Amino acid sequence: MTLAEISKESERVIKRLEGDEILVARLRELGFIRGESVRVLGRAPFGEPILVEIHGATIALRKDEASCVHL
Amino acid sequence: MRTSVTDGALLGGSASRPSSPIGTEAIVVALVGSPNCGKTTLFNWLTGARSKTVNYPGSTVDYSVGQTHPRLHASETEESITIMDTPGTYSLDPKSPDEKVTSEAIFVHPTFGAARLVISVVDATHLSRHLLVTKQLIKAGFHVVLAVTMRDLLREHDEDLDVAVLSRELGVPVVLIDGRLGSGVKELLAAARVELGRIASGGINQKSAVRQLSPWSEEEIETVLREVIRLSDRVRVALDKRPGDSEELKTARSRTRSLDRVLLHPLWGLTIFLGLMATLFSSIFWLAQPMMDFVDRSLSGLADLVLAWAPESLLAQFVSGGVIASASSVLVFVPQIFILFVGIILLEDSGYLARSATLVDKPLSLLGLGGRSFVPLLSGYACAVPAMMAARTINSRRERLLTLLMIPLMSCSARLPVFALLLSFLFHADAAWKGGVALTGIYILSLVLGAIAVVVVGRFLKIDERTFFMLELPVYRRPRLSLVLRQAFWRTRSYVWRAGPAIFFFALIVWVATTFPNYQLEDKSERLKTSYAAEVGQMIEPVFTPMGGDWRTGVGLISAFAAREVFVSSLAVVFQVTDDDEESMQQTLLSKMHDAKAPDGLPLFTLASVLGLIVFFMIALQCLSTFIVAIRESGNLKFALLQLLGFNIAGYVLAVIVVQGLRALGVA
Ligand SMILES: Nc1nc2c(ncn2[C@@H]2O[C@H](COP(=O)(O)OP(=O)(O)OP(=O)(O)O)[C@@H](O)[C@H]2O)c(=O)[nH]1
Ligand SMILES: [Mg+2]
Repeated sequence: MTLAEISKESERVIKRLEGDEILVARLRELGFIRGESVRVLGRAPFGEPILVEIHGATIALRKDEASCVHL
Repeated sequence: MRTSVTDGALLGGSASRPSSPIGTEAIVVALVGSPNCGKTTLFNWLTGARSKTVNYPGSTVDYSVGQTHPRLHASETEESITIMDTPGTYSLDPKSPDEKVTSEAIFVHPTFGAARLVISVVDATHLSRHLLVTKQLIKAGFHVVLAVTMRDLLREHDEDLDVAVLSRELGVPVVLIDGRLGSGVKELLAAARVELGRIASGGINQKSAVRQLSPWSEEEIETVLREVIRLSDRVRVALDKRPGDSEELKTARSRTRSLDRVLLHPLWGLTIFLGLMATLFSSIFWLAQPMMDFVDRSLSGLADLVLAWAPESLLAQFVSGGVIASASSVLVFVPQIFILFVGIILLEDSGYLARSATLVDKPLSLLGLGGRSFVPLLSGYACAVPAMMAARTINSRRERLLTLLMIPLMSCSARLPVFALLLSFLFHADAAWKGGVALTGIYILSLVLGAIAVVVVGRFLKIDERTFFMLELPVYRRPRLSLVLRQAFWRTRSYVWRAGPAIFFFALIVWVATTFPNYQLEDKSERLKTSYAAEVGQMIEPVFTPMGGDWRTGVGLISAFAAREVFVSSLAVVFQVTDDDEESMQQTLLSKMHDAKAPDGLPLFTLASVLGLIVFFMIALQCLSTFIVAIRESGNLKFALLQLLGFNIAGYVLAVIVVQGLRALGVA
């Protein structure tokens, strides 16, 4: 399951990152690494971007970006 | 105090070269850190500069250099240090042009070489993620001093940091900063001096020590991130008692969460967004009216005084009818520009920009743009030049080019006086809100035109590149009114300074051309008809007749290529707004426009011809600076040339179509 699929407000642990190289590299630099927990705070109108909380920061991710994050 | 360098990647020599204590090499202390962590705020404290700080990740897109402010020096003889502010970056492995500026400025700057010392700036509330860059800087061999900002926010959480442990674990000096009050800045400078002294005396060969990192591998980043996450947990100390579980702590973060539930709500979020934008643009018109009347009356009074002092003297006629009339025709719209800036600054300081970008990401990506295009496009309403530079935060080349394409179509503040005059003409007798609604209409229409341009050109742009959005949403901050007003004042002042010379210069030319050779004629309209301007004007008139103008409009349109506002000031001179006894020059200009007759004897300014002018000004790219910045930011002369020609031709053709179309429909 990826971050793009889970429902609101549930906290999950990141298993791995997978996908386009540059997306994955930037996600990692933003703090998305194995073993860290993330939470979906909500979605913007039109279902995208997804608002994700990690290490106390809110980051807005498009669906294809969020789907690189496997939980 | 400050020299701003236009582009780290392309230029370099323009940074001031300070005297350096050792050797002949210039030294620089660079501020480096994640976006929105407070680097520019710190830079302003250190140097006394007034660089723009915005609560949005990616507000600085170019590096700038300044000298430490003497106020911070221990004694008069103490040497100043050169400080460099850089664009925020999430890592030293750049992913977008603004991040590239940072990496080039600190590793291979043409004047400074590698930075002698780096002040790594991290946000205390995001310590765990921001320390990644610190680690990379240390790894690359830089001498580092760590500045931890947002101390005040930490206090809100009843927390503090154990500076000693942080310093020991990282092996670098650490200073806590409160960017709102400036506490810690002196200590930071002292720490930097100590380090610089150590480098100078220790003879560490800096040059060979610093080396650009190859991008870190997955394992490396994960290991380091894990390390700093652990470290940041360790250095956090609770102050007094931690609040009990039941207590709801009112922190910036929790306030932000609840605000976002509304402001990013599928329904309310969009409604509020549209409402805010409409309010911003319509308030420009009706809020400014009283201030505009005041400016107009004062300047008309001044012009009358000058004329009364020496009615027969040509110089007095030039000063009142040339200089004051043209300056005031533009200055009268300065209150509107001020209000536009206040609105934009409020959006910038609050943190709402990042939310707007998120809200429009999906709709914009249907066009081939993205949420990251929003901030450049919005700043395009103020001025296209910084707006085009702001597009550096977009990583994909395709998206960036399309954003650059659209920016000059946004109605910049230089067009505001033009539209305001033309709309005042159309809605002369009506309530001010009608002008406001019409102006909002112009702004919306410019978006539609921009969207069309993007879709059309997007078809021909064969670049397929991975684009990402991934935007960090900062905490909301309450804008402080005094700061907002001061910032708006500075920006308005630089607007006036920029347009001033062009207005003055053209006032001189147009006045001379419309007054001579028969300056001694009593009958002013006869004087104008036989003037040099009229003579030259007859030759160019055929170009402007199809869009409903005559030679007088033509003179205005051509002089507008110096600066768009000059259209208004040229009209004021051509129509000689000071030879009337009316109290207000703007009223005089409007009524003279009403009375003006085209060569065929029909009114010159009609609904059709004024709409034609509006359409022309909406599209035509009359600004040389925009063209030059477009060359640099697109890195492609052909793109910039096609844009320049395309927009000017399209503006003219569409204006003609509108005028002739309306006339065919029976609308004069
Ligand atoms: N409360 C608080 N706010 C701060 C502090 N320092 C900066 N800010 C605010 O944080 C926001 C970002 O500050 P900037 O100085 O523009 O940040 P930056 O690091 O230059 O950002 P980029 O140029 O985007 O990388 C602004 O709204 C500042 O007013 C601080 O110590 N405390
Ligand atoms: Mg900055």
